[in-house]
Amino acid sequence: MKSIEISARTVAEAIRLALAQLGKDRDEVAIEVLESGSEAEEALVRVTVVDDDEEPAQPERPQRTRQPLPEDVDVTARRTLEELLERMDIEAYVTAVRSTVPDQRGDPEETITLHVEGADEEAMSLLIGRRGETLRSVQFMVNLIVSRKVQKWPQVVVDVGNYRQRRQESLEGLARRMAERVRQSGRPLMLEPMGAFERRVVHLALRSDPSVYTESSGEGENRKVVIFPAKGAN
Amino acid sequence: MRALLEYMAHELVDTPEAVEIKERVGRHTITYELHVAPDETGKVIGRSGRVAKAIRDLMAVAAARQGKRVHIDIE
Repeated sequence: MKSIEISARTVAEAIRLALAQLGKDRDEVAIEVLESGSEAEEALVRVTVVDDDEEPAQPERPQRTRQPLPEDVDVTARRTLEELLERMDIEAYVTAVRSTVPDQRGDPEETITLHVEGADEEAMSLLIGRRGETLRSVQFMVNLIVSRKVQKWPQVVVDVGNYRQRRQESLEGLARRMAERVRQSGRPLMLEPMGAFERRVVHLALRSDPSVYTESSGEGENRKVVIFPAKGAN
Repeated sequence: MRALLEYMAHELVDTPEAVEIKERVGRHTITYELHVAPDETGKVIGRSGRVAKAIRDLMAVAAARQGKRVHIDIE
């Protein structure tokens, strides 16, 4: 299987270059984002030609507890977001990237991330909204429309200019600092209410920390993560 | 703006032909009245209004792009 790694200013740009170099279409390759890029750092992607005649290169596939999403869901998801953006008067480039990440219990779960990139900074920040609230609504709408089309609930994440990755990094930092506080005080600590995506980031960040464990409590908009000291730690 | 509301409404219901949108233009605010088939209002409102909130958030972006405010009534 032919595979190349390309870096460029943005993910979309890197993918475009890689496809041109391979002479392939988007649906003939698997795309992995190795670095999403930032102002200081270039984006890096690995693009692998998917060849049906060859055996897949991975010797062991992770055990799946869920049915994999059908192949065309990423196209449906990308088109749905493009239809929405067009009618919102927002010019942007959407790239769908499929990946498998562990869910809260550590089981693999297939996710489609739609990377939105646009030159208009003002439009991009409108799309994110205060504390990412508009972005959550955009993502919810895309999942809703796509789920009606494919008859199952896909895990589609919408990211604008790496907002989610930056937010994820700052949440992981927060999670670790709060875990340190719990370790020192020996008392549980409740974080502020967060959306499902944010809670998941916190749970995952502390999953491998043996000195604490995490749970979500509260309902709906009020649901938050509580960090507890590990049983028997005191 | 109307095109966005129309698109979302059509995609969310089973009987898109029953979707009706009325528009009232005020000085600063445009109000849209969204009607869907009576047994499908739940699909555009959602559990504790989640779908309605998403519709309003997306419409607010479209309105802001045109320097306007928008209000959505779901009947």
